[in-house]
This record gives sequence, structure tokens and C-alpha cells, in this order.
Amino acid sequence: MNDLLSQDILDIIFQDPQVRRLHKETLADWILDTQPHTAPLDSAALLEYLAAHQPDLLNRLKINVRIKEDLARALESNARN
Amino acid sequence: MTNCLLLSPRFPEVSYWSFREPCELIGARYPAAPLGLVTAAALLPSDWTIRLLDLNVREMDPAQLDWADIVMAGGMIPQQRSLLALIDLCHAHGKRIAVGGQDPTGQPDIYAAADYLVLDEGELTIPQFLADLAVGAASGIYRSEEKPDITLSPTPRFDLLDLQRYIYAGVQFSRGCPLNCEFCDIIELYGRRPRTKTPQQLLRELECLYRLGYRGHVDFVDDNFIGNKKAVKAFLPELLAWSRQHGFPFLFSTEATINLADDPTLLDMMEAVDFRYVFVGIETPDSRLLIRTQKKVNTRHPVAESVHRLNRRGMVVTAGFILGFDGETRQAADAIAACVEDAAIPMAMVGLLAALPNTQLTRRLAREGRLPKAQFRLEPGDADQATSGLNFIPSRPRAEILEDYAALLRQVYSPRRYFGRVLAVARRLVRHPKQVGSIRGRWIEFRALGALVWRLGFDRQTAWYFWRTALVVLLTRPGNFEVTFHLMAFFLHFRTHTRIVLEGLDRRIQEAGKR
Repeated sequence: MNDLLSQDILDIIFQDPQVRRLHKETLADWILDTQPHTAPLDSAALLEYLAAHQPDLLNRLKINVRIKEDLARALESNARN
Repeated sequence: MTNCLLLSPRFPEVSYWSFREPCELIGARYPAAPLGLVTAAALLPSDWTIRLLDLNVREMDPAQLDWADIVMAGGMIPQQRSLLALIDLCHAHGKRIAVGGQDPTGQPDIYAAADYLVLDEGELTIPQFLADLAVGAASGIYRSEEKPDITLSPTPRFDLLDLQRYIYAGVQFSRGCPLNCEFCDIIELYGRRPRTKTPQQLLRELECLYRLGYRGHVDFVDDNFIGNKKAVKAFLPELLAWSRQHGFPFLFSTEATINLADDPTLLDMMEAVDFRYVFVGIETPDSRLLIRTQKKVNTRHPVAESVHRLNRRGMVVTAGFILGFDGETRQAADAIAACVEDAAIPMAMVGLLAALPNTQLTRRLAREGRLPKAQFRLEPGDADQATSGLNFIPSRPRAEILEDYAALLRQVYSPRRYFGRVLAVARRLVRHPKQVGSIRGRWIEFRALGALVWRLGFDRQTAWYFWRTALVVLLTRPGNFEVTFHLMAFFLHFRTHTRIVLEGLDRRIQEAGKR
């Protein structure tokens, strides 16, 4: 899976003024509370979280030209696993 | 009558902030005047005779200690070794010494040999110390959980400073920062609720500098100048009126969070009073790491976009970057290098993550068993984050981080890249300077320009970049030549600093590889 995908996803979400602050805070809390500090953020775990807790956000990401191809591949890989 | 000698300990020569060569060009000895000490001086009894000796600008004759009844000294982590040496020196001369400031407050155990530890903020603890001293106490530790109301803080004793020996004078408008960055010690020292002085109080301080004949660069030393935007917006119009009335005697610089770029009203105000430099803690362009280190404020816009917005308001952005965060990948250094180039930040303070005393980071690392030493002690040759960071067990191999760091420094401070960024910022900068400088100042700058031409314009490694930058700016943006010249002068320092840091890194990489 593309190592930079999780960064691109976070950049898009956090730089989008239309994404509610609460959603950003919840996502940040999830990273801080559940993801290991010492390892790079896992894109697969991030996508699972978005699918389960913020599906609208994930749907918006799926059509974002910057990442839609990488995202589609990552979702496919997640589904296979 | 008590004779009190205030001592400002030496900063290490190789520190990022020492700017020794640019200082020499203009006849200064050190960039920043010791504002903490002159603030403490103003809290001492009016019938005391006070002398101040800044070891960064003057040599000390130990016989000067003979005059003093009491010695007071304060400092930050980079001054630690010098401050400890001063304690020994005072005791060797049979003098009592009181120490305070950031490092003694953060780790008082290191300074246990001092007679008095006057910790936390002086407005509350200096009176406790004075009361004890008056009744003959031979030692004591003075602390305060409370944060003082700084509207009651007196005007610092700027008269004790030899202001010509510094690049800039400092004033402080606020203490504290509302952010919650995991690695930061400011929020632990000063709290997360920014406390500000009143506009009148700050103008009194500027008036004092003005009456002392000081003109030129004044730095707001606040750790986050816009921590309380409402208060800043109330202050800046008053500063503008004062500056107009006095013929714009000062230009300003400060430190702020990058969301300054999102506030056009604030930018209008800062531009109007002639803010020319702003230091921003960018840390990393990687949003994953920013979230983990609890610096979400930096994730709102692409870094380059914010920096360019500040440039268009006449402000040169200097910035701090950190390598060594938990969870970072091998791409971290390349991402920082790309960010420095895209944003065109000539003066990028690239350092290694340090677990400073009493921070959330330090507490977490201690819990995780990743902090081999409880104290943050500087070793010989250590100066700042460039040389003394990574005082913990990092999440990726230490040697790998150090190698990435060395490669990053080589890139960022190669003459081609540095002068390229100077040219880019000179082209982008839109300045309407108000402070024009004195004739004496112009003459000093003219002489410095001559020295700079000699040192960079005829050096095989820099000549092409130097002349290209100078000529392109002169032909296309002549109004920005002065700032271009200043930024090029700083390269003298970065060249030396980078060389020294890289020598030290080579040793550390070898040591880390053996472990």
C-alpha cells in the first residue's frame, strides 16, 4: 500500500474548511488514542476507521482526483484482506 | 546598600542562534540582549546598586565579583554549562549566587549547588527571595504554582544594557501559548492561557528604549505573539500611533504560529507597524506527525501557501523543523527539504527532536522506558537541538535518523539551495518599510556590505550564487536589496554552523552504528 496515502488523506481532510472541526478532532483523537506512536500511521487502519465512523468523508475522498486511484487500490486491497 | 551583579551566562559558540559572523559584520557581539535578566533587575529593591555583565558580549574579570554582595544569574538550556561554571566561580570567590530562568526552573536538581534557586516567574518568586535575604537566609528555593499577572510587571531595566552590542533589543508582550504541542516546554513553564501586558505598559517599555537612544530592530520575544489575538489586535493600533508619533524608530520581529497567515486583519496591522521577520515552528510538513505531536494548527493549509502569504505582507519567515518524531519514516528528511525549498525559507532551523525537561513528550517517553537519562545535561560541544537532540530511544534506528539529518543539513545549507531561496524570497517579498535607520546605521551596513562582498563574492564556492542573487535583485527588486544582503550575510553563519554540526554528526553516526 502507498506509504504516503495516509498523509495525503489527512492533508485533504485537515485542509478542507468544509470538513467539520468535530470530525477532524475525532479523527485526531482516534490516531492519538489507538494508533501506535512508534510506527508510521497505517493507511489500512485509517481507511477502516473512516469506513466505520466517517463514511461521508470517505466517499468524498473517493472522488478526490489527487488520491482516488491510490485510494481505490487501497480499498480493494483492504477488501481482499 | 546592596551591590548586586547580574550575570548572563555564555551561549555556546556553535549554536544556531549565535550568528557570530553576521554580528561581527555590524560590530555587534551577540544577537539578543538578555531580557530576562533586565526584567529581574527591575524587580529588585530600588536602593540596590546593580551591574549587569553579559558574558556573550564582554569578557569577565573574576575580580568583578569582589564588588558584589550577591550575584544573580539566569539562563536557558544552552547556557547550562556556563551557568554551572559561574556557580563554582562565585563560590571560589566566597560569593553567594542566586539562579533562575528556564533551565533552573525546569531541572533545579542540576543547580543544587547554587545558594538560592529563584524559580518559575520572577514577579512572584523574587519578592519571596528578597524577603528571605533580608532576614539573613543563607540559602533557599523559591517556587510558585501560580502564574503572575504580567500587567504588574515593571519596565525592564534596559538602561543596564549596552544596546549597541546586540543586533536587536527584546520586549515581551505575552507569556504562554494556547497550543498543546507534546514536545514544548513553554506551555509547562508559562501555561496555556496567554497572559498579556497592557498596550500602555508595552509602549512605556518602547518609550524607555527610545529615550535611551536605541533605534532599529526590536524583537517581541513572545513564544507565540498571536496566542491571544484579541489582545494583540487591541495593542497593534496603539503601537502604530506611537510609532507614527515617534517617526517609526523601530522595526519588529517575533515568533508566531503559522495561522497568523490566515488572519488578514492581523497581517494588515503587523505590516503597518513594520514587522519584518517572523519565526514559525513548522516542525514537519507531515500531517500524520503533526497530529501525533498535537500541533494540529499546522495542518490547516499547505505550508508554502501560508509562508508565501506572509512574504507578501513584507515578512521574511524563518522556521523551525524537527527530525526524530515517533513514527516518522525514512522520507521525513526529504519531505522537510522539499518543504524548505517550496516555501523558500532561507533560514531554516533544522534540529533533532529533544525531550526537554517537564514536557508531555518527556513524561510519555519516561513511562515507555525510552528515556535513558532523567536529566537534560549538556555535554561539551552540545549547543542546541542541532547537536544535543535525540536524548531518548527513537522509534527508528538512531544512526538512520542522524544520517538523514546530516544529508538534510547538507542540502538545506548548500550555497546553491540557500542563495536560491534568498532570491525566491526577495522576488516574492512585498515591503513598505517605515523604519529607515540612522546615518550611522547606514554607514555600518555599507561597511558590512563591503566585508560581505569580500567574503562571499570572491569565494569559489559562493561567488556565482552571491553575484547572481545580488544582481538579479538589484535589477528586478531593488527595494528588497537590503533584506537580500542581510539574508546573504546570515549564510556566513550557516556555513560555519553546518560544518561544525556535520563534524559532530559524523562522530555520533559512528557511535550509533557501533551500538
